[in-house]
Amino acid sequence: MIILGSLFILCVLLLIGVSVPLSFGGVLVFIGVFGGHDVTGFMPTGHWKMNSIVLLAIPLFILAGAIMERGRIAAPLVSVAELLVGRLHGGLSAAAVFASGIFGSISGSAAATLTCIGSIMMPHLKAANYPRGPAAALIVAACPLGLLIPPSSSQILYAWVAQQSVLKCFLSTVVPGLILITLLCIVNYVLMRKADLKLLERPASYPQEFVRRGGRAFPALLMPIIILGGIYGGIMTPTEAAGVAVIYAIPVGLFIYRGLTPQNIWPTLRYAGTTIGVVMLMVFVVVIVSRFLVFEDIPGMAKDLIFSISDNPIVILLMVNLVMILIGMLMDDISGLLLSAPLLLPIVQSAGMDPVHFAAVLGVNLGMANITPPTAPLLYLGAKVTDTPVSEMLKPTFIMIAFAWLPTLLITTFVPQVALWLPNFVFG
Amino acid sequence: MKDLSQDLPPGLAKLVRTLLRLQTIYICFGCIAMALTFFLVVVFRYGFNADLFAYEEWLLIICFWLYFIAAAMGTWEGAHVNADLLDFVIVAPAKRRARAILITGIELLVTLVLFYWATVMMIEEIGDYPRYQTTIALQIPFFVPRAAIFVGFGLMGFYSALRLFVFLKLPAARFAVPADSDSARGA
Repeated sequence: MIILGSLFILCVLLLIGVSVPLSFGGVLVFIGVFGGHDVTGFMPTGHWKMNSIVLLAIPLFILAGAIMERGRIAAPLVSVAELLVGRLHGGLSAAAVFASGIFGSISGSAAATLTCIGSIMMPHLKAANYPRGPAAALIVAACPLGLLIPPSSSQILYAWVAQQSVLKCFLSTVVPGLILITLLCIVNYVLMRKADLKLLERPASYPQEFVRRGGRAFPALLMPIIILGGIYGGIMTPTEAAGVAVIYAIPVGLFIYRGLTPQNIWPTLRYAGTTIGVVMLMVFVVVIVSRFLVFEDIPGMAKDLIFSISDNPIVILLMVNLVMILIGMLMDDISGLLLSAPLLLPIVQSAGMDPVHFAAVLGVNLGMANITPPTAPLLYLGAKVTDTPVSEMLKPTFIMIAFAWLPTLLITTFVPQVALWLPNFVFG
Repeated sequence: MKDLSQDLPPGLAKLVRTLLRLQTIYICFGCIAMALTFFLVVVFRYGFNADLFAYEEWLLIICFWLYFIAAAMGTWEGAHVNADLLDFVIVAPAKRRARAILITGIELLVTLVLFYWATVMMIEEIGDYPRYQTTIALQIPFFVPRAAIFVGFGLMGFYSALRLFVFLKLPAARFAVPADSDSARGA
C-alpha cells in the first residue's frame, strides 16, 4: 500500500512539474508520515551513502564540462568532424553526431556535449539549409553519446550503486555508442535525402587541411588521451582523472582556444557549481528513497512479480526495459539510474544477465530517457541551445528514438557480446 | 523572471544578494579545491612519491557543503530539473501563475519537512557530545558535514518561501509566456 501510494505521489508531483529531488522528497515525507518509519535515519543515510570519493567524479566531470563549454574546446573538434564528412549530402549534420561522440570522450556529460556541439553546429547547419527541426533533433538525439562514450558520469554512478568495476562499466557502453552513431547517421541520411542542402566547399588540399585543423584540435584531442589513458593505464582513478581534466582544461580554454577569460571564469564556476548542487541534491534524496526500497525488499517483490508473469529471459528483459523506459519518461537519467539499478539488477541477474551488461542496457535506456518527454531535460535544453521550437523537434526526435535509440537498446539487451566484448577483451 | 530579488522588499533583497554572494564565493572555492586536490594527489604521487594525508576526509566535507550550498542556489534560480512539458501546454498567464504558486507551495512544504528532519539530526549529533562520531584519521566530527544538510535545506526553505511570496505578489501578466518562447510561437 505504502509503495503504491509512494509511486502515485511521485508520478503526480513529477507530472505537475515539481522538481525531481523534491518529488522524491515528497515520497520521503509520505513514507515518514504514513509508513511508520523512523525518519531520523533518513538524513544520516543520505550522508553515509554520499560520503564516497568515487562519487566526486560526477561533480568534477560537470565542472570539466562547463569549463570546456566556455573554453570553446569543442570548436576545433567540430571543425575536424566537418572536414571528414561535411562534403557528403547530410554530412554536416552527421558531423554533429561524430563531434558529439568525440566530445563525449572528454566531457562525461550529455548536457555539456549538447551545449558545446549544439551551439557551434546549429548556425552552420542553418547556413547550409538544413531543416531546423530535424537538425536540432539530431543534435539532441546524439548528445547522450556523452554518457555512452567513456568517461561517463552515469556509469560511475551505476558502478557505485551496483558495486561494479567503473572501468568495465565505462567500456560496456562503447560498442552500443558506436552502433548508435551509425544508426543516427543512417536516420539522418534518410531524413535529409530530399532536402536542398548546400555542401561544404572542397578544401584546396585535404591532407594539408587535415593537418591544419588536426593541429588546432590537438590540445582538445589530447584530453581523452590523458583521461582515458590515465584511467586505463592504471595511473589515475576516474575521480583523479576528472580532477586532472579540469586543471588541464583551464589553461587550454584560457590560452589556446581563448573562450575562457579571467572575467568569465568565475561565472563559469558559479554555473558549474549550481549544476553540481542540483545533481548532487538529486542523488542525495534518491539514494535515501532507494535505500528505503531495498529495506522494504521491493526489488525482491518486483522480481517475484515479474517471474510470476513469465520466466522466459527474453520476456523478462523486455519487461525490465519497458519499466526503465517508463521510469526514463518520468525522470532524468541520474534519478532514474539510482532508482532502477537496485530495483532491477536482482531481476536481470536472475534472468542470467551480467551486471556489466546491465550497465550498458541501463546506460542506453537512460540516455534515451533524457530525450523522451515529458521529462526530457536534454530535449528542452536542446530547444534553447538551437533556438528551435520543441514542436518542430518532437516528430524527428521520435523518429530517431524509434529507428536509432530503440534498435540500439534491443541489440544491447539481447546481444550480450555488444556490451561485454570490450570489457572482456581489455580485462580478460 | 530570472532575478526575483528585484521583486522583494529592499531589506530582504539586500539580504538575499548578500547570501547569494557568499554562496557564490564558497561555490567557486569548493570547485577549485575539489579539482586542485585531485590534481595535486596525482602530482604528489608521481612527482614526489608521496600522498596527501587523509585528504578524503576534509575534501569530502568541503564537497558536501558545496553540494548543499549550490543546491540552495539552484532553488533560488529555479534551476532544479523538472518535467517542463506543462510549460508548453499551459499558456494562459493566470493558469501559469496558479501552477507556479502550487508547485512552489508544494516544494516549500516538502523542504520544510526535510529541514525539520535535518534539525532533528543536528540536535542528536550535538547531543552525542563528547562521544561524537568522527572521521578515522583526522577525527573530524560528523556533524561538520551533516551541518551542510541542515544549512542547505534551511536555505532552500528560505528561498522557496521568498519565491512563493514573490509569485503571490506578482500580477498574472508577469507569468505570460515570453514572446520568443515555443508556446508563443504556437508550439
